[in-house]
Amino acid sequence: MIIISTETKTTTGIPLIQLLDLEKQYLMGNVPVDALCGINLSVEHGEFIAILGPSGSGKSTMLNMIGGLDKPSKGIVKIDGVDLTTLNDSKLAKIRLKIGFVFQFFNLIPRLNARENVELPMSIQGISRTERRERAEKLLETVGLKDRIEHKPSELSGGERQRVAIARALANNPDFLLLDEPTGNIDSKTANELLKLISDLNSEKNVAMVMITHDNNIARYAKRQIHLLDGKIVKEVAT
Amino acid sequence: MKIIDILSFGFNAIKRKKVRNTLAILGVAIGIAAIISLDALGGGFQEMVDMQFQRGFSSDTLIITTRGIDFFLPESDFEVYLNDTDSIEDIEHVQLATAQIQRACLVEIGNHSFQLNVVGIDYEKYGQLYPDTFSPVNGSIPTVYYNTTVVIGNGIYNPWDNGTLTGFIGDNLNITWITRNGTFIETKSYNATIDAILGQIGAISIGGPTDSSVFIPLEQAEAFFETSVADIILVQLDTDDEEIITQVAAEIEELFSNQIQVVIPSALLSAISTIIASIELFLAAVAMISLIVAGVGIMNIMLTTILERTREIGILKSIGMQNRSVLLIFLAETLIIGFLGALTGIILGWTLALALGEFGIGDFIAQSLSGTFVGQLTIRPVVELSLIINSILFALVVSTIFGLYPAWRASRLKPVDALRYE
Repeated sequence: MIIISTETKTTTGIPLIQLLDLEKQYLMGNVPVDALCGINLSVEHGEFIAILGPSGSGKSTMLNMIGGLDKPSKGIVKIDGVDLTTLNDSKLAKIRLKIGFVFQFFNLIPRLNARENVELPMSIQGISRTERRERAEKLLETVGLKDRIEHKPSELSGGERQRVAIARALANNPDFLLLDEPTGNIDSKTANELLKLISDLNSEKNVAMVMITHDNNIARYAKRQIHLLDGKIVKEVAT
Repeated sequence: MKIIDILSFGFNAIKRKKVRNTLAILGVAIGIAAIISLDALGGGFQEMVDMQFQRGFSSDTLIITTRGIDFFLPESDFEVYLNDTDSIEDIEHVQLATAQIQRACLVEIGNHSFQLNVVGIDYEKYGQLYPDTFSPVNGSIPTVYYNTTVVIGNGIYNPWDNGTLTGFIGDNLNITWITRNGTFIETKSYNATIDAILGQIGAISIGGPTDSSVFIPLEQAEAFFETSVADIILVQLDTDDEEIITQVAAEIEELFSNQIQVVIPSALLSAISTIIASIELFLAAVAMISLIVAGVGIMNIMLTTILERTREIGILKSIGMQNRSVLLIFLAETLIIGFLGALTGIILGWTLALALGEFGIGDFIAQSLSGTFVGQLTIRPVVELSLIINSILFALVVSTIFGLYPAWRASRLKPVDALRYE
């Protein structure tokens, strides 16, 4: 069933994602909390890594930094060699267009149907109505939702919603997807199907995956596992 | 992001909250409807007044009355007589002066009877004073005095405007006058023959002919009403220079030891015009306040909406939407509300203006204005294209002003915080 694509995204020698001495401090009320304390990580094009760790270990904070949703207190985040910490809001938004986000709680727009949700990033990009419609339908077909195109999120199951979210994340041909506990709200059977889809996309389309999970069973789909504890990388495992 | 996509995204969001947004639209609509209807009626009123300058009034005419047009002065029992016109005509710049006697009488024409103003005038001089309006469409104004002669206004001939006519040239017209003679009630009546029917005037007039007047020769009026006291004297000057008009008016007042009033119709009308304009301005200000209240309403619902859709804003930003586009999306929603409100308001206001014009407000004003001098009055609401465009623009400006702050707040939300919002 899996046809390995011969076409791979060109690698330039520069790592796709690079985190250098990344630190983040929050204020919880008046108490400063160290969420990340000196993270160094490099992700290559086409890689599939899993980030594991108990809650509060800084997984989501790290992912938000990579996605340009949050700014670090110290350190550097580089995407394709571009330092995100130096960019303004507008340039960050442009970078985010090329990053696919998949969240634990799907984060679809409830009043839009599956196709419209997938079209949204393309409409932000300024792609014409007919082209984005065609592409959205193709993407929904890829994630196995061909006959769910006109359904609203409320009419879809958790697994189906997450597939829509993945289709949306792929809309603007991103180099990598950031997945924040993508199976956290899905039963284990559906979760395995979803992970199969994710690893297919990784191997076929050479889309790099950075996935947060606390489930070892899910993490085994990744080629590399990063273990986080109290804002530090404590273990790296290649599978 | 393309403008069309921003608008359709906003429209889609508005559709999801029908009740709330309909109420906001209604708020704008009420404000716009108030502006449109008041302005349309005001415009209609102004147009009617303007028409008087061309039709019922001459700028070189003065009206002498003892009754007084000033509501606050005590009424004088001073009288002017028909032959006072001779001494007035001796004043420099006076071209002609003619007296008029008028009484309310029961007028029977065909099978119909009306309570009308019967005016005794000198046909020839009256025709000179009002050449445009005192001109017949049927028959001709008699040039030789004959006591049963009568000229009627178009409204008597064709009172319902539906083709049902009361009578025609040569038909009989019976005039009945009821008066007190000592302790007795005396009823006098005579038959006249219609000689001429005036063209439609459709305007009010001070001193001049109206559609609902019956004109009999002055000599006949003097005999029939048994008086030589004039109700008003009309004076035509050889100039329309305002300074001279004012000066002649003062001279005439002097002639009667200041016991009479000289009304300058054009001055009176411009005074009325000024009053109308200021009332209109006041009403427009009130209407605008109601629109500003609607704007506050828009701001209120938009702040609520943004709170409810905080997560959505986070999602939009996480998939790469620019702050500017977020701002435009929420601004588009308020503009759509403003635009739909303006359209609804225009329809409502126009209907209201037509309804008020049709049923009553014109008649109401006519009744409150009508004295002996004034005839029929109709107000047709005037809705100009510029008014429509201006009210749409005004609604859009108000929604922009009040939508800007909520939209700006939405655009400033931090993506992480917005996504985490429950």
